[in-house]
Amino acid sequence: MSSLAITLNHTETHDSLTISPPSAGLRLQGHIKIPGDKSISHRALMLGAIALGETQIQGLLLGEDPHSTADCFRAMGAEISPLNADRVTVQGIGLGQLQEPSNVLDTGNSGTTTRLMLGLLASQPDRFLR
Amino acid sequence: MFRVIKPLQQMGAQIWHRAGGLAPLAIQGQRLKPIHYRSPIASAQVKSCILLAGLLTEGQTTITEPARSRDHSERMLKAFGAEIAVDLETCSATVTGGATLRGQTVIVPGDISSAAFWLVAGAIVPDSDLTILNVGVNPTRTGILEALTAMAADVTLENQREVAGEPVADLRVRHSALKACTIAGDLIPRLIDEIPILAVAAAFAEGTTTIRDAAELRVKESDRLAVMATQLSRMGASVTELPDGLEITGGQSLRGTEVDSYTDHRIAMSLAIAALKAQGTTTIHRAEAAAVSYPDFTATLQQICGL
Repeated sequence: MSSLAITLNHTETHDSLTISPPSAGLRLQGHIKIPGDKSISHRALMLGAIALGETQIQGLLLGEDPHSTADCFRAMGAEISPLNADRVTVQGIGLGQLQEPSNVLDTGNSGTTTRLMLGLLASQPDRFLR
Repeated sequence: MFRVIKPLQQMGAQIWHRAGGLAPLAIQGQRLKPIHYRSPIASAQVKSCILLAGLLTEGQTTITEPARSRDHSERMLKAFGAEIAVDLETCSATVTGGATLRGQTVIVPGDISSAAFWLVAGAIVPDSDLTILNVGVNPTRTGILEALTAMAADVTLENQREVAGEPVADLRVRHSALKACTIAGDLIPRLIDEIPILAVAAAFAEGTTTIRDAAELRVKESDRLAVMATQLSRMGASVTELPDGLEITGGQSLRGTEVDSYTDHRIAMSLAIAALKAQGTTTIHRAEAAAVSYPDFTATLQQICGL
């Protein structure tokens, strides 16, 4: 086919990506799957945790931030299966039923987790630390 | 955290924080009172925080914003059974407390910000025909589609559907001759993350594309205006940096060279797409940054090139 080369090189300090398109030009074709939306991934975990009954999530973004959200809600009583892109199952505990966590909640680097969770925690008569 | 702590305190919340509103925070949950909060900024995080606080608060809690922010929370809350009313004209959302939320099946749509790289790749590389599956096309996020259409890109939405309250489609892009356009004003918040890749499209579009009102890009993972201007210029593009944007005259052929992502994932991926249509070899340093939002980017690039 073409003489295109795409190589990822690792060095001690950083990675570099080298792209050499063929002089005759390229042609891009096919069907592409892309990662799940981060904003929606957070909200699906949170609303699943405070809803009654089971929530199934397909296509969750597997990044550090959704993991922070899942860990916080697990610490407050929601059952959330290990995160994967195929299917995540959340056993919700119902609105107003979050339990005071046994340790400080860690939201990592996720501003979405912190700000959205704050609204839920401030309005539920119980104590929370983050 | 003041931007959310202040309105919550107006509702009667008890929150302790470090100086400057910094975490760690301690929260003594309370029965809150409903308010109508007029937010000084358009922020989906602030809006979502107030609406979530309103779920357990008796009565109606309303937030009004100066401009429309992303509405993923309103849509998903409604799908889960919350009582939510939205007024698009006044940029307001109201939640009535006390509804019961019930578990749902959520199919998370693909991130249109990730799709943007392939849309531009398909538009600039001759004979291309790409379909990006299952992309979220929430109108608060689709500025990229409007900008590309204004540039005469051939992008179509196929198989449009709604999943858990969110509009979803497959996006098909075919190569076409692009022309310059102006990207500014109200459109900017709806495509702010896509400006680096739009700068690449502009470098291959006939005429001068002007991007304004985008000063916020200077405080992202890198100063995206400065970095895109210097790196695209290194490849031979004609780019002028403006205080709040870029001016790009397209049509020059780009040449491969050594460029740097400045550890910014969107810069790394944008430069990789530019490299597809450059003559010769491009090396993007610190390209590992791409994995932040898109771990499979390189694999997908190889797939659509037939490698």
